[in-house]
Amino acid sequence: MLEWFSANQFFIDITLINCLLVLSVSVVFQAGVFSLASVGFMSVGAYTTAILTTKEGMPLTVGIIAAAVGTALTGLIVGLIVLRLEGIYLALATLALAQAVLVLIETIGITDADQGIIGIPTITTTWIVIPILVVVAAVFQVIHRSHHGRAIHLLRADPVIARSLGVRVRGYKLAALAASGLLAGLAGALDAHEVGAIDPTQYSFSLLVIALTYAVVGGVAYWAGPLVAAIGLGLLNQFLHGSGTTIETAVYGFVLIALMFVAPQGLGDPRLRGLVTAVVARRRPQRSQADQADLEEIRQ
Amino acid sequence: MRALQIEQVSKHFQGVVALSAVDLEVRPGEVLGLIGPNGAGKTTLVNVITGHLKPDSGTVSVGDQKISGLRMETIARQGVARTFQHLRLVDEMTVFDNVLSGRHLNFRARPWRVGALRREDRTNREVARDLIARLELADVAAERASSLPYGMRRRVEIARTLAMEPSVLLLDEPTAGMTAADAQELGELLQRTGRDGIAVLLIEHNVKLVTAVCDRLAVLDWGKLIKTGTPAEVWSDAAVRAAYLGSEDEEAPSREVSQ
Repeated sequence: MLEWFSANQFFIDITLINCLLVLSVSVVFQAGVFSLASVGFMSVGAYTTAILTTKEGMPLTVGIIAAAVGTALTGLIVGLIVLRLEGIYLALATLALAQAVLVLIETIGITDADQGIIGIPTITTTWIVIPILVVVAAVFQVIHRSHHGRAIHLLRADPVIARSLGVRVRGYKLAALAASGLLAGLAGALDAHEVGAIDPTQYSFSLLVIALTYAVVGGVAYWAGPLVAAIGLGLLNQFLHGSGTTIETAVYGFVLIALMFVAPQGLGDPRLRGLVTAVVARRRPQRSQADQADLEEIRQ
Repeated sequence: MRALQIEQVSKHFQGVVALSAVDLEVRPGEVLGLIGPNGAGKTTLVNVITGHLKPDSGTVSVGDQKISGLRMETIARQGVARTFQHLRLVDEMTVFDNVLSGRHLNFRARPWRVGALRREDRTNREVARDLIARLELADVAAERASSLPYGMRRRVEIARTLAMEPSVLLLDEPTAGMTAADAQELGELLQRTGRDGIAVLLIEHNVKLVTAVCDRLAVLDWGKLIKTGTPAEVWSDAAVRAAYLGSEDEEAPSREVSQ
């Protein structure tokens, strides 16, 4: 087990870092915002820490925190610009902004244009990424259980209902874009400190497609869905690719299609969770204790 | 205890007059029935009040707070709650969560005050539970909203608006799709609601119900308010009978008119 782990540590780290990117895509989808800016945010995060730590000689923690805060602000600014648009138009605008960032990186001097930045300190380990993911997951869970979680569900399902109940839809969407920026920025920074070298071609459309796939397979109903998809499918993808034949790629495709059939609402669909619970525990799905208590009291 | 005041409100849609200089007041504790033929502008008026549409001219206020021109969510925060003509629930949520989502504005504790958060959560769940019991939805509280028959879904929507503890309640044809018995029960609930000091504006086609439930009626026709008064006054008005019932008498509620 330990041997397997150390042999594959790089893949595992990359998969876990990608989880943050997938959550960055998922968090805006949950708020009903079809933003495709995540990979762009990731590049901003990576370059922020690379420039600060490698070129300016600042401490690593400062670089990573600056990357996260900087991309959160970037997300907020992008939100202020694009939130007057909706649906496919918003998607195109966010994609265009993300591409513009890449063009900017290739143009200005401080990023070393298309040569990229090398010699970034490689300090990212699995034991740094896992605690960060745990904290992120805990925050997602707390929000999901709170009235904010309900408000986000409302505004995704029907913004008119949400607004008629006093939910500040725009505020939630801006916050979702800021969170999306923060998560992708963190992913970019950790990735830069894992690989040690970055250049603009890494933040390609194909990376966005991968993140989108996991976010969609995971579904918007529950944050754990995209996380499970990113870890499970990410590792599967890495190891299938490792064996190097096209059959494996086809297998991967079939797995994706099969998942869409099993869970059309995504892996986070409560019904699927109920099914899994039932299979695992070999009994009927049960509601959580808090809900159960509520229902008991209502029945009385 | 705040009244809803509508002053000189007009609204056009590409040259078609939907509302023309409408003046109307709904007092706290009163159930006011807004009636009129299809296309008279009733739903438009509700949409203007809630901020879904902006009036071309005129003002809407709640108490002394002007609300016309504000965003929908800001108007909701001023205590204006509504149901929709084409009912709107979150289908995949349970009945309980749909009603609880009406409590959104009553979650006010700061996120770091864990004790206050817990207390608030408990109180809000209690309020939702009480409303669910009051509207006789207790047996289906755990069901998905989409699984219920139409009349019950209507009651869930009403429970959600009551959960907001509004000053002004706007109901757009709440009894559509309900059985006669359910409609009557709803009418009784609305009268009790009015006694709680809420200003209730009720759009309703069911003549018997509005006559029985409402303290006053207002009649819209082609965007104009043609008559406001007690049900008896309104039904005995010739212009109302012409506009609303056609000039024939067959549909007039005989009991009230003969009073």
